[in-house]
Amino acid sequence: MQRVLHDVAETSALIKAKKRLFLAGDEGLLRQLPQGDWIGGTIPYLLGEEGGLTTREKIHVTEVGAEAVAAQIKVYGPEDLAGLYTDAPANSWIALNLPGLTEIHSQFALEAPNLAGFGSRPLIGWIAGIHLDDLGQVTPKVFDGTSGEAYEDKGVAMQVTLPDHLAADIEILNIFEPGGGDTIEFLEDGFAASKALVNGEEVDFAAYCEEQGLDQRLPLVASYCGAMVNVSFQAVNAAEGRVDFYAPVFRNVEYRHAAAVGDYEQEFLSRVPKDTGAAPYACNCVLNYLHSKLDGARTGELTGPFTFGEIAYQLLNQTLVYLTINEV
Amino acid sequence: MDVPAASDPRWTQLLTSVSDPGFEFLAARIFMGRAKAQLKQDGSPTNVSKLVGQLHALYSENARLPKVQRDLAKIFSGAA
Repeated sequence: MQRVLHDVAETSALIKAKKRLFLAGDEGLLRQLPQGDWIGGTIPYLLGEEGGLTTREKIHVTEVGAEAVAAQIKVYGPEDLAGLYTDAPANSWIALNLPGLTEIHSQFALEAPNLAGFGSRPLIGWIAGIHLDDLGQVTPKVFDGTSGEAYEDKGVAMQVTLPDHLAADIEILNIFEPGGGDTIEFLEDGFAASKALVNGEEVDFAAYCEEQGLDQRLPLVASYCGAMVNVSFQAVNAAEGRVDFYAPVFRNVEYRHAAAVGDYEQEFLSRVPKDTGAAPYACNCVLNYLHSKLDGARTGELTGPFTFGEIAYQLLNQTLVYLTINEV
Repeated sequence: MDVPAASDPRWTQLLTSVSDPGFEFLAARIFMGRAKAQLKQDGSPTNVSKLVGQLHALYSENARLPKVQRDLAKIFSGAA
């Protein structure tokens, strides 16, 4: 298996060798890198060739494949986000990094399903985060390697163009499935909810979560025509009558609390397609890393950062996302 | 196969049907999930027409993908 974790000197050498790179690591490491054809985001939780780990010493490096005929880096402020798909060249795929816990993170999460040209290019990516010990002290950032600039209020994307005989596609791997319990619908789109319709009846949702003793490590799951889309719990505050999520819930979508999972690693490995190999791009969720004890655990040949949110056309939670490149 | 024109009524049937078409193409599944939620709020012919146009564009833009070809065969050739 190819090595994907590198120190600053090794990563700098790859940049100076004109490699096009996707990087994930601690802010202190990314700030030391030279300018070049790379984008990156802050996160110290990585899935490397030896399994999951927390590190402030190593950077996860994904090199753009030699098949790419061009790659272009663009910075997206709130006013530019609407052009994510329409900006991208024909037969390209888009890798997007957004800083977590920010306005642009929220904006993307709410607007992504309605962006002009939705799905016209494969859009994959992740939300930058921080070490949980640093909460309140530092902020998540994304980097445009061409300028060396770090952003905490903008996104950075790389548009990778493929030759005509190849096309990119996105897969998700979600071990969570809707449980057999109540159906839950929300009255408004958003990252927080006070009321919900449980089996059609309006309830105080925070009180409901407490009464039912819902395991908050398990997400709410909605079936989007068979694609299981998770929304993870951030906090249930019964006193304030408010439940916060790591991704938005949407009106008129039917959710259920996920069924319990026994052994995440085993469950996960049993679902990794055998022919995937090392994906050209992949990421997983920090909640899977933390709740499922993936420290030291491997997930086949798929490596990447454990992130504050995954992007597969829209924001996802607790889901592994990966890219495939196919002959057409 | 070529992508049938947006005016083909089977696009509308697909969007307004309650059954799961069993798409393979992830972007289409996410789009359909969102579109069905939107139709619960606004099922007007104007909105249906707008969403059909978007679904058609999604398939047209990705028509070279093997999964998309299999989806099209299911929808329009009765291969499901």
